Amino acid sequence: MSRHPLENDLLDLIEGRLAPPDRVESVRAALSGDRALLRRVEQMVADRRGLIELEKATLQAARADRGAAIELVREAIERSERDALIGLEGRPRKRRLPAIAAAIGVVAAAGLLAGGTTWIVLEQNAANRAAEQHKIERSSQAHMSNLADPVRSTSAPAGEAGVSGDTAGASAGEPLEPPIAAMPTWINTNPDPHAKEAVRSWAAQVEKTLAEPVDSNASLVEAGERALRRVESGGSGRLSIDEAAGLVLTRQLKFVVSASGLDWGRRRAEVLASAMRSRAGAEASADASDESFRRGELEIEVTAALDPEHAALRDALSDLQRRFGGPTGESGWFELDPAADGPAALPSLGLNDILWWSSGPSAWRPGVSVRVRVQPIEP
Amino acid sequence: MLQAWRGGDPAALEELLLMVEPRLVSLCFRMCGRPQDARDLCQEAMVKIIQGLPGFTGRSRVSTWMIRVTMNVCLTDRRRGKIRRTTSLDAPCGQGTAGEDRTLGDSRTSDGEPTPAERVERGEDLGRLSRGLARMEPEQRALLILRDAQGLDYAEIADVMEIPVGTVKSRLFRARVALREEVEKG
Repeated sequence: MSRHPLENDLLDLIEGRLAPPDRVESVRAALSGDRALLRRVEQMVADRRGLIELEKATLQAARADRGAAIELVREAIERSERDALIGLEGRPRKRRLPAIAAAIGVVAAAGLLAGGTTWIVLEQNAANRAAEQHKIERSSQAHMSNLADPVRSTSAPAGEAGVSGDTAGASAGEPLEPPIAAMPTWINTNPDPHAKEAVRSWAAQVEKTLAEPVDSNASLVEAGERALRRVESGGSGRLSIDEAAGLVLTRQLKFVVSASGLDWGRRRAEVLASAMRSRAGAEASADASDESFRRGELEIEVTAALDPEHAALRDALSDLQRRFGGPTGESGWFELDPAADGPAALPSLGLNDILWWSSGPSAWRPGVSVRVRVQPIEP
Repeated sequence: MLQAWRGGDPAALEELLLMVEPRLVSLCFRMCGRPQDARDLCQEAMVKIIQGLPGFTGRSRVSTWMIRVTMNVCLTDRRRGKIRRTTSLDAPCGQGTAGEDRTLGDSRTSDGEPTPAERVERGEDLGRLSRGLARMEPEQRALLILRDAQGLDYAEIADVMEIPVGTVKSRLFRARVALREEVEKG
């Protein structure tokens, strides 16, 4: 007896990767009984071939004009050189630069000791003082912008500095920012007044940026977008993803982000939720106009297709966990808890709950919905 | 070439970028739909690539890393509102001498002959496919471009989009369904 093929089977079939033979047989048998689905799959195979064909044509066209390519590349090289020059000349040197550099070095060392994010210690090069000053100057600027975006330094995968478009400017020899949570301790113990001033200034910049309304602040949303791209999972949730997925049909899940020192969690949650709303579309949504959202409490609805193993749901929850994992080591944490006010009864499931996607996006509805509550906890 | 550039050969950088330029321009074009915007985006991506190269550790293939930087530029630019999801990939980018609309292929050649891109995209089905792709949500479009046009495997797509491999699969399938829906709209 044939069963309805799952998404993975169909994806493999469309891409010509379906194996082993018994799996092929099973899917073929399932499709033979559903001509509409079979036709749809055939069309998707044709779409894939078409996209490959289009790309070949576009590539041929692009390769045909070597002159345009050379011009584009040379302009890019010139622009990057010009940017470097502006970085040097666009900002007056300050006397406290060595103190800032020292501060960066101290905090970087602390970050390394704490096992935090990747740090690249500032190199001292006595033979070329001018170049060093330039490097420090650029580092300071990067510091300012990174701190306005606290998750930026960790948005790239571990071990690869500056791999995202947004972080491409971070290169070897340039320090990245200290963890925000390390600041209060460090600032109170460091005797250097210039360094203290520098760190306070960065912290104030962070506060100022975060205080602006989320919806009208594109940079904050962008910061959140970058946060969403984090791969690292830094949390210590009480429930595993598997456990949470198992509970999803009967309970609400409470996803808690806690805050510390700089009220980080609440504002971070706002930013992340806003970015999540703009990015994740049908998979997650949060209503920014809701009053509770403004208070920093929000419910995010995660939707995912149903399948026997909860694979899609586990993916969605893992994704969410990663997104909110963030640099929470010292500044906060998250928890994935079963909530007491969830529905008690299992919904009855039919074939349409599994094959909801087959009627096209306009008719899509979630196979399952998880309400995730992000709730700040003041320490 | 990367090693040569790191070794102090400045010409190696230009050579490296020239090698990947068609692929990156094509990626930008499929993401934004307009030849001139594609060139601007590609140039912006290349600036970031140049700035980021010193920190590139080789954890991924350099081509994948460059695609990732470029895709980030395209998606970030779209979020700033420069790229509209309704932009058609068939959108004209100017007019030729006879007043006809010109497209990417036209903009890259000047001899008046139909380009390979034109010849292929003339097909009605491919035209519909192209328009359908242009109407999709950029992040869904990105998945299809990375998979079918750029030929990346799931792990590489996961690396570029910074999502788990399992998520790549589920989103990719939905993207295929969504594309079909858009194509059928005509």
